[in-house]
Formats: sequence, structure tokens, C-alpha cells
Amino acid sequence: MKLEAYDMDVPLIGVEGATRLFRTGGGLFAEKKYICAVDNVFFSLEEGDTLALVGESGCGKSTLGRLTLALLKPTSGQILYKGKDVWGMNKNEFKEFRRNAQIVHQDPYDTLNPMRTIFQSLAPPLSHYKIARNRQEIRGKTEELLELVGLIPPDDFLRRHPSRLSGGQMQRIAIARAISVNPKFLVADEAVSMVDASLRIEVLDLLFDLKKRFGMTCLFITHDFGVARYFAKHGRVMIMYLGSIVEVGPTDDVILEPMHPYTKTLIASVPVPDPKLTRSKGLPPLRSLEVPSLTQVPPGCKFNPRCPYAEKTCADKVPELKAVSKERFVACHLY
Amino acid sequence: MEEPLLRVRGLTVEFRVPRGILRAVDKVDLDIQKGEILGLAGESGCGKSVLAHAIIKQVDPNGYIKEGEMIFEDKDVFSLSEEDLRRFRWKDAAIIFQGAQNSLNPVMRVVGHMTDTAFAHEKTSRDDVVKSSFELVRFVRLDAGKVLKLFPHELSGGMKQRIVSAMSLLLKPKLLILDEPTSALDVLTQKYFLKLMRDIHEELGITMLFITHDLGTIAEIADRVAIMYLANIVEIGSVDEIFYDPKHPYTDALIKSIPSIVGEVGDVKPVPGPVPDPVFPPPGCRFHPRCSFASESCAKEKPALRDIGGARLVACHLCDSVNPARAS
Repeated sequence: MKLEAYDMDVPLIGVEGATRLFRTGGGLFAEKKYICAVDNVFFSLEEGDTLALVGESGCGKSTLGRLTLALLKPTSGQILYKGKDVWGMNKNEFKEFRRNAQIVHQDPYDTLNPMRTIFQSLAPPLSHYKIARNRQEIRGKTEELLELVGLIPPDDFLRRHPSRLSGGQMQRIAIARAISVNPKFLVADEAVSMVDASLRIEVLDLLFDLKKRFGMTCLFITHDFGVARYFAKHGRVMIMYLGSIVEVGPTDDVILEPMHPYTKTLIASVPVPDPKLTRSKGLPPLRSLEVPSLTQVPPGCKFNPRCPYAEKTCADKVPELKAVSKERFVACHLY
Repeated sequence: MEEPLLRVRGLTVEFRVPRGILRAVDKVDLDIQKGEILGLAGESGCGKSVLAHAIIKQVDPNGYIKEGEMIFEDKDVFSLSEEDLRRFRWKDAAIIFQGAQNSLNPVMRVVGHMTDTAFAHEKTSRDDVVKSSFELVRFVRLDAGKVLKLFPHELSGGMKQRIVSAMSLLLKPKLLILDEPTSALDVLTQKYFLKLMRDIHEELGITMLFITHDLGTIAEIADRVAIMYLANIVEIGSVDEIFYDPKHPYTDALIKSIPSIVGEVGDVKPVPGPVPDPVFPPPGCRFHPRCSFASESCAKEKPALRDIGGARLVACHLCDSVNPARAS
């Protein structure tokens, strides 16, 4: 079942005012409490785009990733796939969306069922989406997939259980399974943070090659600026803080010349493997080291209690994400 | 050269695992000089944490120290009695292990942790402990009057980490071992924590062994660096030597494999080949299957860590003839 032809100007993925609340406290009689993990986020991805979503732990980047995949329903706002609200789709359209939007998780040890062989893990999606029709075709397709992700000879790997694979190999299987149904949109959520340092680049290269080869659109979620820069070198990077997007722009522009005070302090704090350089960078002049709790988000700009440049308006008015040049967007009153 | 604070010789630690014997630390020699910050870096599973814990003679139940010698000043650590060992830990060598900030007792106030620690190791009065805790908590840049009365759940991750650091300094140890102390902290807190550790180091002159997988952190804090690969130390040198002029091909490859926010993205290269199974490590030089310079002798004979001048130690047969940093 194909979606009807859509306007080519419509982005593949559109996120419009997505907000997601989680209930944290309260019981039968106590007052209900909510935290806002994703707060009124707007962005869009054209076909073939690479967008790295960077933020510290707990900033809501994984929740945003899950929203774009319709694994979570937004409390308000919309997720559009080819211009269509995914939560308003009919059954067939939604099934088509599900096939087209896939994820690679952080922890390869948790993604694969330890009781199943690699073949048993790879086969079900292929038959479910009728990509391969009989056992022989499934066999051929799984072998092809393993060759694609560099697990050679495939025959040997198909019979193994996950316990007999290394972390890097398991992550390759997870990637193979995600691309097996020919998705158009791939979310990689901290996909290499559990892979050994010396193998990380290989997995990133593999993911990037596959992305290019199959023309996939990629949302790459990470806390590591170095990894984001490597993966999205020709793409964009988007910085998130306490549920809000604070800055978006071409990767190297943002990293070499950050604009938002939060991005600036982050970039200045990242240790780099160059002793003279990393020691010459002073401490960012933050006013407070403590990240505010999501249950008590500061009013106005969420960064204002820590921001060294904060002015009076910053505590009163929420800054909008606005364009400062053709490709760069910043949510800060100073611009 | 001055006598080192800690001298490790031929240390071997093994673990019994279902598939056989895993040698996590293989005949390691290491000196820690008085007053330095020695960074110990390597990938996950290379044995760096096991080595750190072995210094205070602490090994998991399925593991054992097979052989080796550990001389701390003039004490032979492995032949200390239980009682002396207890005194050695925390008073001579304190360790902040990975995730220590999550090991605080949830129903005990910060001040209780301090007094508990002090009473367990020396006879002292409560007032003295509270007084020195007050100073230490202030020293780690926290509001001592307030924080000492709080419970762990009232503190943020970064604050807990600083409390643990303050606790480790309570008995004025000569050596502080930090095992991945920053891996659970966010980038900003990490930067401040490293600065704090430098300040502590400079003000108290305390010797530190800083263990991490993150070379950026090592570049930031260490005076000298030891690089570990598959249970062996492959190279030791000053931080500048290690980062600007690596002699061991593994050191060079590891540094080149880090995606960073500086430098050219195109210069980043993966370390070739898979990480070998540590239960059945390759013969000869452990790195030879992945090394682009490897020759026949590398597969046969294991290179010893040898002095190539200027307190620089390298375990490579070829380090006289090849220069990995320039070759690629």
C-alpha cells in the first residue's frame, strides 16, 4: 500500500509544536505533577537530511526521537510524515509509516532477544512486511543484509546467538535489522555510545554509508559533540536544553562559532585530546552549575538562571527560535 | 630520580570465567611518582579498573592476584595483615570508584557518612571529624553549613561526586585513585570537577591516579599518561609526549580514532580490526593483528616495556625504526 503522491515541497518528517508531558507525582488525592520533557518543538527533515540532536542527559532528546517515530504520542502538537499527521492516519497508512521509520537503540545487548539466533531476529520483519516471500528468499535477504553491515561470512553469524557476538557486532546486527525493511527515516539514539572507542568510527562510517546508499533521512541523537560532528559533517546540528531547542544550524558553523550561551558553554567545556588546547580553555563563566530540575523549570528562557549574559527580559519572556541568518536559528533574546 | 610513591612490579590479576582464565592484568610494571597526576587510559575491558583496585588489594570474588609486588613507600601491600591493610586503605591510598556517588547511604546524612568513614579507620573525636568535614566540604566548593545536614537524595549528581571526593580526602591519603570519576557527569559539571581536582592536587600536593577511557579528560588533567591495551601497559610518557609524539602504534591509532570538535574530521581513522577475545589473546605483541607495522617477530615475541630515554617507556619491537605518528 503506497501513500498517495505528495507535494515534493512537503518535508519527509515535520515536527510541529510537539510537546510531551510525563506524570511524575501525585496519587489518588495528591495533586498531579507533570514534567515537560519536550516543549513546543518545531523542526523538519527533508529527504536525505542528516540532523544531529545534541544535549545532556535528561534534556528530552530521546523522548523527541521517540515522538518522531510515533513510539510516543505527543501531548500536543503534531508529527507529520510526508505532510500527514501520523496519529490521524488510517491503519494501512500507519503500517506504511511504521515500516518507513526505524530506530537503532543505544544498548545492543538489550535490543536482541538472547534466546533467538541472529537469523530468528532478522527474519520476522522481512516476512511481516512481505519483503521476502518464502524461506529461501528470507535466507538470501538476511545474508545480503549481514554482508552489507560487514559481518562476513554471513552464514556463520546467522546461526549464532547474541551472546557469541561482541558489542560492535551486535550493533551491526541492530543496524541491519533497522534497514532490512527499507526505511526512509532512521533514528539512531546514542547508537555508538556503548561501542568500544576504537570501533566507534567504523560503526559510524557504516551507518553513514548505508544512509547515503539508501538515501535515508537520519536523526542522530547523541550527547557527544565529537561524534555529532563526525556523523553530521555535512548536515545540521540541533542543541536541546531542558526540553527546548536552543540552537539549530550547519554542524561546523555551530561548533566553530556557537551563538546561544548554552551552546557556547557546552562547546567550551568539552575536553579535547590535545593537552595544550584543552588546558588553554578557561572555565565558562556560568552563574550556576546546577541544572534546574524538570519539575521546576525556570520561567522565561530556561537557561537564564545560569546564563552569564542574562538580562531582565530573559526571566520574563520565553525566547522563540528565530532565524539569525539563512540557515541558523537561535532561541535567545540577545540575538 | 626520587623513589616512587608506589612501585608495581610484575602484577598479574586473573579471573575465573566460564570459558577459562581471563588475565585482566598481565605482568604490569608501573611507578607512580610522588606528587604527580598519572592518567591511565584504555578502552573498556582493557583491565585498567582491575589494576586500580589491585593497588588496594581489592579484587572481585572470582578473581585473584596471581603474582606481583606492590611497594607503597616502604610497605609491601600484598603482605600486610588484614588490620594493616584496612589502615592502608583510605589512610594511605583512597579510591573513588566508578559510580561512587550512587553508593551513599540514602538514609544517612552527609555528616554521618563523614563520621562513619573516620571512625572506621582511626580513633578520633566526633567534633574533630565534623570540623575537618566542614573544611573539606567547603574545599570542594559546597556550602558546608547546609550540605552536611542533607540526605543524598537532596543532592545533584555533581554535588554527590564532590561529597565523595571530600570523603576520600578525610583521612589525608597520600594517593588518591579515581576510577572513571566523570563518566556519569554532564559536560559542564565534568569540566568543573576536573578543575577542582587540579586545585586539590596543587593545594594538598596529593598524588593521583586518574583512570578513564576518555582521552580528552586525560589531556585535561594528567601530568603523565600510561596507555593500556588488553591487560598490558603499552606506553608511558608525559602528557605532551603521548598526545603529540606517540611512539606505540596503538597509542597513535587510539588518538586518531577519536571524533573531536577540533581538528579535521577527515583525519579521524578507525583502529583497524576487531578487539581480540581477552580470554584467548593473540600471541606475541597483543596488538600485532591490528597493527599496520607488524612484522614477523611481533607475532612471536611479546615486547617488554623498555626505556627509550627521557622516562619514556614503550612496549614495541619496532619503536626504533617506525614512527607511527608520521607514517600515516
